[in-house]
Amino acid sequence: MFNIKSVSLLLFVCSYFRVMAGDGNYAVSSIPAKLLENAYAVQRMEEITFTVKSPGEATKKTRYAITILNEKGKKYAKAYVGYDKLVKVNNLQGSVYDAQGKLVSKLKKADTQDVSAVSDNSLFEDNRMKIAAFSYSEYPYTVEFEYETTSKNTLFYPVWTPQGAEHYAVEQSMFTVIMPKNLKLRYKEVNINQKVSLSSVENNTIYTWQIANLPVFEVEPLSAPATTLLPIVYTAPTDFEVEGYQGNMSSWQELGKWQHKLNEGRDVLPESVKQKLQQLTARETDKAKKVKKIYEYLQANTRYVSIQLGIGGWQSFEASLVADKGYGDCKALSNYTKAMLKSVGVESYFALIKAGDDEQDIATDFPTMQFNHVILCVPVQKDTIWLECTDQTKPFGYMGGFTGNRHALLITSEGGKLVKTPSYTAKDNLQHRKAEVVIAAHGDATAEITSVYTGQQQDMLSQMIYAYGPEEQKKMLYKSIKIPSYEINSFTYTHTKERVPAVSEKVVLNIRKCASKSGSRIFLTPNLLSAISYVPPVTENRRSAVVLPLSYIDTDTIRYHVPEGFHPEFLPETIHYKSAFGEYTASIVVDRGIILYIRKFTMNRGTYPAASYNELVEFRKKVAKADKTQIVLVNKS
Amino acid sequence: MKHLFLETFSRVIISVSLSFLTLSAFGQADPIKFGKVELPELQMSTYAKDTSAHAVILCDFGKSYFKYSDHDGFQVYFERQVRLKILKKAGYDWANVQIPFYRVSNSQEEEVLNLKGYTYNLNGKEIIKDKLTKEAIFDEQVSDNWVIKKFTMPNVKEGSVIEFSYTIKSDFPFTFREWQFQESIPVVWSEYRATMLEYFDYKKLSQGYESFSTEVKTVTERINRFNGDPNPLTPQATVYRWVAKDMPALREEPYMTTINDYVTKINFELATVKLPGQMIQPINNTWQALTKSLLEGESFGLPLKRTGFAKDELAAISLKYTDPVQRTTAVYNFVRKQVKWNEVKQKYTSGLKKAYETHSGSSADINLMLVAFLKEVGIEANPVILSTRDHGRVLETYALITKFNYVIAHVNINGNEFLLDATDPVIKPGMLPARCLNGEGWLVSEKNPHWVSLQPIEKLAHVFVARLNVSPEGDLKGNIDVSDGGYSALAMRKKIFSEGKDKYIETVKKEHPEWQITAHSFTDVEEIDKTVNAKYEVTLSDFAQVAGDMIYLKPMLSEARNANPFKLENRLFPVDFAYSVDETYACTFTIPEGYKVEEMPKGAILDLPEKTGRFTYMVAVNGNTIQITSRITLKKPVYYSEEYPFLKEFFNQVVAKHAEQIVIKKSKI
Repeated sequence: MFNIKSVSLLLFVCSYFRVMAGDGNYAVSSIPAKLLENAYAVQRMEEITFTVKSPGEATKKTRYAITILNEKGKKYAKAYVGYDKLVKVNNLQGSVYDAQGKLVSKLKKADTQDVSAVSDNSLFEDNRMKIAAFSYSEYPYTVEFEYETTSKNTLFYPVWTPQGAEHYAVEQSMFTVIMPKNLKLRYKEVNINQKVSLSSVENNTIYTWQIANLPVFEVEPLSAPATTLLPIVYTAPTDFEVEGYQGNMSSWQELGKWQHKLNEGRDVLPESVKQKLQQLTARETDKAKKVKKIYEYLQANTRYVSIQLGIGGWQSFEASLVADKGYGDCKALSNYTKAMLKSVGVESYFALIKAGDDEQDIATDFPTMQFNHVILCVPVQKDTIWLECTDQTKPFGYMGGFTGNRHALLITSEGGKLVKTPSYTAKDNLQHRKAEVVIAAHGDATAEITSVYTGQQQDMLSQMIYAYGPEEQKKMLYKSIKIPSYEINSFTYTHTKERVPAVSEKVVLNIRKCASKSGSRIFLTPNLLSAISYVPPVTENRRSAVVLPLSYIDTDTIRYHVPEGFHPEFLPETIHYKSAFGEYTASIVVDRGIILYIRKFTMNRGTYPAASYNELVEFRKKVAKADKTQIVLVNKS
Repeated sequence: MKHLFLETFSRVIISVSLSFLTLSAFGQADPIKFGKVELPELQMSTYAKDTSAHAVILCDFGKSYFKYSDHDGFQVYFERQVRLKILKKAGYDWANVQIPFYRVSNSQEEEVLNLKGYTYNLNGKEIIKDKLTKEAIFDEQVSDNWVIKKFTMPNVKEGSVIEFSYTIKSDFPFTFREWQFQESIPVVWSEYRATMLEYFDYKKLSQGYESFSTEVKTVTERINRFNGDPNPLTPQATVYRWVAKDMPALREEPYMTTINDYVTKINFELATVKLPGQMIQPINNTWQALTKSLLEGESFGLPLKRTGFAKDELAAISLKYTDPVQRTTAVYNFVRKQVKWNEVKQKYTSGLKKAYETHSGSSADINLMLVAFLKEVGIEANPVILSTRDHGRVLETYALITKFNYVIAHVNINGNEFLLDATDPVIKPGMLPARCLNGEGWLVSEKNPHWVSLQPIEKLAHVFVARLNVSPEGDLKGNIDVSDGGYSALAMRKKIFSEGKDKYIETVKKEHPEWQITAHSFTDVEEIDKTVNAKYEVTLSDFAQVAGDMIYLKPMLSEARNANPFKLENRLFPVDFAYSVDETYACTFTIPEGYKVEEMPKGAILDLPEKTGRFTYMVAVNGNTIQITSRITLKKPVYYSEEYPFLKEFFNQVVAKHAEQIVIKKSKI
């Protein structure tokens, strides 16, 4: 669903297309020992020089050398250079050196492939890629690449990520930006010790960053994204130009003005559509209900098709085209919906956003095109309705984990305005489960289970029930139910499309040996379906903060009907654990042939200090253990 | 000759497809007319034969035939017309269509012509028609020679009927287009007609689990080579018509080789070209011809004779090892050390010397080098071509070189034959990587080419032995010995060789959070002929629960099979494990002083029909020790779908037995 060309692509470009400049001594013996520890590859040198020619044109020279230490570093032995209608690759050269640093061969024409780089969710894009690779692979060896790109798209300046991957050490990297004095460079340094150094040559200001001797890093479990922990320099223009559209991004307001200009006048609907919409909403007096009608019309009559060509990466199709063809990408469909709402007298705003589950929010203090998606924002009375226009099944006004809880840039006629989208709390993200389980004397059982998932806990499931037919749904259920041996007798799904939507799942199971029988005893693990499986690994010297991405509450109420004649021999005590991360209770009550198991488990989203990591491990461990406790019943007759 | 060929062809069809009916009337009208969409097709809201379908192909109709032009000679034309119904939003993807075509140069290319399409929607009783227009059509150059024509249909909604048609004109008679009767959505009617000229003889190969009908008739064509040709060509043409009805959606299941092996389809390979007034050019229509062409080929047979680049090293090996087995092993290890596999599966080498010097090569570079080197040192060795599991199966009836994608080495030492694949650095000699375990391979030799079985000679062999003392607090303390052979050893060695022992032990700890490992050691990791052994000193928690004077013990520890791998009720396709399995578990528990066994599981023996698999489970008490043994053997690498219910029940019982517990109780004295 992502369909504005975004900076994330460039990040990818930079982290994989490592580049630089050195003294040409690539003997492996000259790599400092501490850089070799746990490394798959060592970047020997990198030199990126970005030269701005004018507000609308820039070149980037890239040179780098990487020593590939083993099989796992092999992916760095290839160079990937992306280009499109606005970015040209001028020349691509390379050499490969053996362990002693002796030249083995130079890159030949046949070693470079030119492939299409259309992303998976797009029908068509002008993105292409050159891929250069050598056939030599006696480890360790060193590859060196050099190329230049010329860009007529200055919406994006480079992001310097000298160390973009795990098990990747860096001996040296240098990043230079050459700016004409009449243009102003904007930059943001993250985790940079050695700040920028400035110099001046003729009419240019030269900005240089350097870094050396970075040993490998490893991403720790449940940590913030690596981009917040590693040295990175973001650069951006003040004034820029793409295909004749000039803009300024010194503030969110200015960047918004540019986007507004791109879409200006593209919201004209055919008369026939306007009339249809008038009829459709004529009887609605409530604004929110009007919006809902329009949204349902959109969902029934359009579908998502992504086509990205040149400025079309940021500019919407005309609303009239969407009306005619019934398809478009996020920009086109949002613009179309905006036009439809306008025709019935409702104002709405195009909203740029960085979509994706668990995506890091944008850097709000550095206005740049950090977005990859567009949604629509509709203010009504005291409320705000957010519309995802690319999804034909999403409940009206629901954002979920894809666009919720982050910043969006509203595009207004006065320019851009940064606002926060709603976040979903533990009470929104529920898993309520109730079950009646009848156990026979031999241990087999039938179970009737109703589970209600709400908010972000229903995100995956609600997609699944629309994407798959009953047969595949059943296969998915078989994958998700972690009971050793059972058969699904029947199942149904119901989706309640509210502002916080719910999926209700009713399942009837025949369970083989639900209780395991040995002689006169039966053993029962009362947590039938909700045992947690993930316990983060114990690590020493945790360095990064602990990030839990989701707040949620799971509850289980399970009634076991015990076979005649069996009585509890062993019952676990009520368990209650509480920590900063969440809370857990599990209790068992026995009442005349019925064992009632009640469990409640809450986890709290948040960022916690690195030092608390082991507490989290302990907490999850205790919960995992409690989820496995068993009941023993004995037949005394 | 021709006649004979047809006969073999129909035999294959009968053996592969289950039923085979011949329509009486031939010369049928086309199954659909473009643009003649019927009201019921638009009114239909579900597909009765499969109510879960998001979309259904109402008709898929193709034709292939030859045309002659003075300028280009013979060209193959392929016409296709598809009508499909969108039932649900999840079926919208079917409105985005891709047509791959091939292009080498302007005179060597395929062209997509006459692409047209319409979307039909219903507005009350009125049919609304939207045309596919050119701004929705794109050409994407995906690689040097492959282009994909992509298009997206307008105004697609739930209930829409989409229809499109196109023609591909091809300069390549060897790519006579195959026909797939089945898709991941149901197909109501699928029909392919092919008119083949006697000048081009194709082998036809059909496969799949659904049936289709075939009709054949012979006609005489008339081809004017230029306007007013006084002597037109009058070749015999064979007209085929294949029809499949009500094809169910093809769905993937676990333990399959590749879905391509299961889809119902028919494809073609050019066997001979016999143009008027010219000699017959055989392409490769017999195994002998195929063998000969391989052996004489610049990228297969000829390089086997050129080993000068490694002359000194091979001479040294010959000098050092006189025993042929040792010599073979030495060459095998030498090649494995010298050249790393680049993960590319190939049957043709791009140069042995280059691979030798760059230390990197495909399966063909490496294994043809192995054969060449073995020959050079006087060992009888030959290449064996095969198709890897992900590439699909090879049928022995037709010598189709495109069905093969890989090559290994066959060695014969005094009648003792074995297969070698030097792409795997840690596999033991004679054993093949799992990707190669796919039916049979063709041994390419001048004197005696033949099929060789690729049946695994090794199994997955895993033995787990533990001796544990149970403490009154419920801790289990003692030793665990794990020994792996065959494919199980291969997996373990791979991990240790690539990541080191330290990383491996971390993985073991991660996979067994209940094991507290206080000491560990590995033996015979490098001795690849032997089983590889790991010893752990452990304290285990979580497997014994203390309740008053009782202890409940889970005797299978972390090794209990706690889920049935076969969950679905039915299965259409065989279960393909690739190799057989033998898992043994034995644990001796010493119970604390003063305790005795109160209750324990009963033993069990369970056989699969015809003894193709067995589960044995035993519990024995001897004084203060309890001995548990469990053994699972699955003797066949492949089980048929008819055996599926037994296999499923077999694992149900294993899972149930493995969950049973032992109760020990403090004796009241």
